[in-house]
Amino acid sequence: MPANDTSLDLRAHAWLLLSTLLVVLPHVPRLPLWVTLFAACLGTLHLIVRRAGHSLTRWLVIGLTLTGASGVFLHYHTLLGRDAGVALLVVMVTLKLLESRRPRDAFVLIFLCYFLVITGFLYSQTPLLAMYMFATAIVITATLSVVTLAGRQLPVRRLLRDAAVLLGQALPIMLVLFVFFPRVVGPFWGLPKDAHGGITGLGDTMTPGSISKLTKSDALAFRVQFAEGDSTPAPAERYWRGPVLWHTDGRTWSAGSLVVLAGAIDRPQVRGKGVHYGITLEPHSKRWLFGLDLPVFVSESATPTADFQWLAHQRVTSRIHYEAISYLDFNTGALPDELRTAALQLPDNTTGRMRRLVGNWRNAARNDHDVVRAALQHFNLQPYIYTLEPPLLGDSPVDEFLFSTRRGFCEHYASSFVTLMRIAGIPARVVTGYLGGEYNPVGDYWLVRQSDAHAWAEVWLPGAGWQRVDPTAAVAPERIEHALDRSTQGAGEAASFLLGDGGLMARNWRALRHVFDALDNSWNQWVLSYNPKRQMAILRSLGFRHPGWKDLALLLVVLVGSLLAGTAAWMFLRRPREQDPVARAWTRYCRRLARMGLPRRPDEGPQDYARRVTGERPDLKQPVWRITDTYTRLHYGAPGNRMAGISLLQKLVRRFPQQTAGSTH
Amino acid sequence: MQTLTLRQRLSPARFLRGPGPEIGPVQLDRSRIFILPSSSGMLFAVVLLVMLLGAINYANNMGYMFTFLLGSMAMVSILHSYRNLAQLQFAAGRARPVFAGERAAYEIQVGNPGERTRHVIDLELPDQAPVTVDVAAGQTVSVTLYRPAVRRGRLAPGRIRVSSVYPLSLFRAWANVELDMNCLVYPQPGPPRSIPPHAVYRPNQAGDKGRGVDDFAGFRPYRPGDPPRHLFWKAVARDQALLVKQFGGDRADELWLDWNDLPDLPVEERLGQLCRWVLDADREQLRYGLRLPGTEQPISSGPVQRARCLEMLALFA
Repeated sequence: MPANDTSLDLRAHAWLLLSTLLVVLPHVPRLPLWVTLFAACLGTLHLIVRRAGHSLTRWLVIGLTLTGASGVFLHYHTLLGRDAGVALLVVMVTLKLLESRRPRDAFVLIFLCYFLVITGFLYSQTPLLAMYMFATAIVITATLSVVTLAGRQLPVRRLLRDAAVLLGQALPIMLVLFVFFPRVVGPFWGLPKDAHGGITGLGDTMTPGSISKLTKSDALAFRVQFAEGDSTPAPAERYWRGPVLWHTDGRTWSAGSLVVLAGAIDRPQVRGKGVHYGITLEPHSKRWLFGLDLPVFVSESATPTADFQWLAHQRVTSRIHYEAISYLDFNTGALPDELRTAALQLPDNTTGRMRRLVGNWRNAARNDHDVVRAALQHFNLQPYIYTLEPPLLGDSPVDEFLFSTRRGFCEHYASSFVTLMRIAGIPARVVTGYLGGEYNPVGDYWLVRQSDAHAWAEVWLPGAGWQRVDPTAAVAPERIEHALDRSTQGAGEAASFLLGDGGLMARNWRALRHVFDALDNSWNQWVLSYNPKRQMAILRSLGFRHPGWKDLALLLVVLVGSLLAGTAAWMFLRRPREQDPVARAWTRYCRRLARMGLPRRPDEGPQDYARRVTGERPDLKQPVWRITDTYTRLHYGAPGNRMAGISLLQKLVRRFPQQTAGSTH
Repeated sequence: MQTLTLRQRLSPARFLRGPGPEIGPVQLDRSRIFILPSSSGMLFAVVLLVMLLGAINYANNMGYMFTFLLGSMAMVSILHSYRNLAQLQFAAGRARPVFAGERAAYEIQVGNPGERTRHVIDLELPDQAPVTVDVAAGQTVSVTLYRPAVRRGRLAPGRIRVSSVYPLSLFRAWANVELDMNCLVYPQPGPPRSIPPHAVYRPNQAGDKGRGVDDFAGFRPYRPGDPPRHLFWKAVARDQALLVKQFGGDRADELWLDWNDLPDLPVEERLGQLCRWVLDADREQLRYGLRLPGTEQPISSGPVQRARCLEMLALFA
């Protein structure tokens, strides 16, 4: 093998620089500023050095490498993991750019660039990024061929086109591999801690302020599509059940140590029709699966608990899709003693005022129902304000909130309501989740965002079982029907809601957003949520009874082989497009006649051919001779207006033989 | 294009050495072109494997997609590699004789009957640096390949390795072409040594008009091949026709260069010495003949005589 020791020319360097730039660019917002600056300085240095025709000494490069690597280590305290790995790769790529002199260096750099592309997908997998990365891949591939061509000056457009052809021809094979390549359920090694970083969602604890903070995020929590024919529940019924919190220390609510599985309690009695729907859940790196209150079936492998949560067997670290059935009308029945005890747990910072308040309600009530009603009335009649920016609370937050500040968000109302109920001896608990959702008419599904996060209460009433009570509704009934309007919030001010449709601009903007989200959703459904389970389902639908990796391997070999053969056939058998318009028109005319059963013999001249054709099809006499005469005149270079002749020939051939055929038949 | 039996097709010898010397233009086709990953292709495969492991580990579908895209691109590039070499035609051109110790130069005609330019075609003789050419559509390019000529005799170029890493350097497509051509290698001329006086004196009937270098005998018009030092430069300066000074000797130098004059030398050195004398005699424009055991080149002069004598020496067995 010849050692290709020629050095790279300036043009190759320019392509390498462009490739590096394109792959580093999407990472820039996430990179520490100094990495970006370091890379930019190295890139500039590279340009200056190359222009001057020099290269850097090995020692300088080694020094810069060590500087970059130790910088990354100091910043992240590791060189492994996703974020540190990407930062290190960026540093390495720019350094490799700097020290690339020979094609060998260039290949390493180009492969590093390909690798950086794939690391971009660890952060985001949107269709937009995919398109950007495909375009980037074209440029990197063109760079690879520039290095291969070793100084031959092909036009840029030609290089890009060739690269695009290569990648374009690769697309069908890629699809086959994507669908049928045996999927292994990972991970092989422990994922680095930051593998799923930057994910927002409900936590397993709730403190005053935690949910109002979450509602600031516009990020998607999940998408819901109700089964066809199933009526969408009314807005006041769209409570998406999430973590249930039992234990409180007076400030923070948590699930507590008690986990009782659904098997320990009676199945809830349900009435009415079940609601069928599918949920595409964004990764939230926790185990719970959200469902419309009250979910009785979830298709994902998950464990139902006694408080009607569905816990996935593994943390949800990638987007998953599951089908679920819920009933809106239910009776959960009896309450086991250990659950009753947990639902009556009180913190040690309850105060006399709180006990007196509850005592008054209890005295006036005939039963627990009346106590609940009295509490809701209290929130409704007293000057409570529903606000996104509540004042800070001290050591006894429930007391302070109830009697002095009286400004709070849903978590304040839910936690104080539950505390009061427990004082009254009514089993109660906090449920967090989401309320509402935005309808996307383009994709016919509902978007539930983090800004829809909500907390409410559940009380257990004799005869009725667990019942949902939303004290927020007593304070701000609009919240139940409408999403929050975050745009107009000041500290301590009452929350406002998106009531109307918000004018033309807002309407158009929302419509556009719906289109994009619908696209994003189909992308998620068809591309991103493809997994081993779906692969098996596809194989089964193709008729494999017990599909295994052998079937997949066989299918892959056959499909990839035939696609390659097809590509080869297209490449080698395709007749190159005739450049001369006259010859092109003539070929087209001959093809048409051939389809009519009158192919031209290879040795036949235009005149002989026309005589034979008109002999067999006298009805075509006029157009055949006009075409033949025009062609002969043009082909054998008789004087005359050539341009006019060409367009006449093209017109005649285009119409041949319909017009005449139509008139004679 | 001959058809091969399966056994021939799969034989490792064909894979390694090619089909042997062939007469006439050789056209590359399926049975000759082999494609294997290049060293950078191997590296690329490793990178792809790491990408795949990463995609599996993070269960990242776009990671899978991109890995498969690059893998498929590599597969498709095999077809492009093949297309870059297929149908190229190779024909033997001239190979001028050289002296042993010099480089034999073989002219190869590379023809591209196809409709697209063939890029970065490496032609390579064993242990020699490759020559890289591009051949435009419908064009023929002449390539000269060199090979050190160590010993006298006929030297075939041997197996020409035609290869290319186009389009992406991930795969190298190659074919072995062995053209039936030779370069004549004359013996390496020995050290300068005076020619033994085997001169045959033949008095010229017309007087001492034999051509020589001693006495000026008159002018004649310039003929190509005349030594420049015999040009009549004064006439040139005067813008007249090119004239050459003719010299006559008192005798015509005719001499025999004889194998038996060098009894004390081994065979190759003897041939080398004779070679040196042929060159000297030719430079001196002498008339000479060459005697080797069992064969003889009669006395004559000029380029043809020189070539015949040198060929005799080159092929002496």
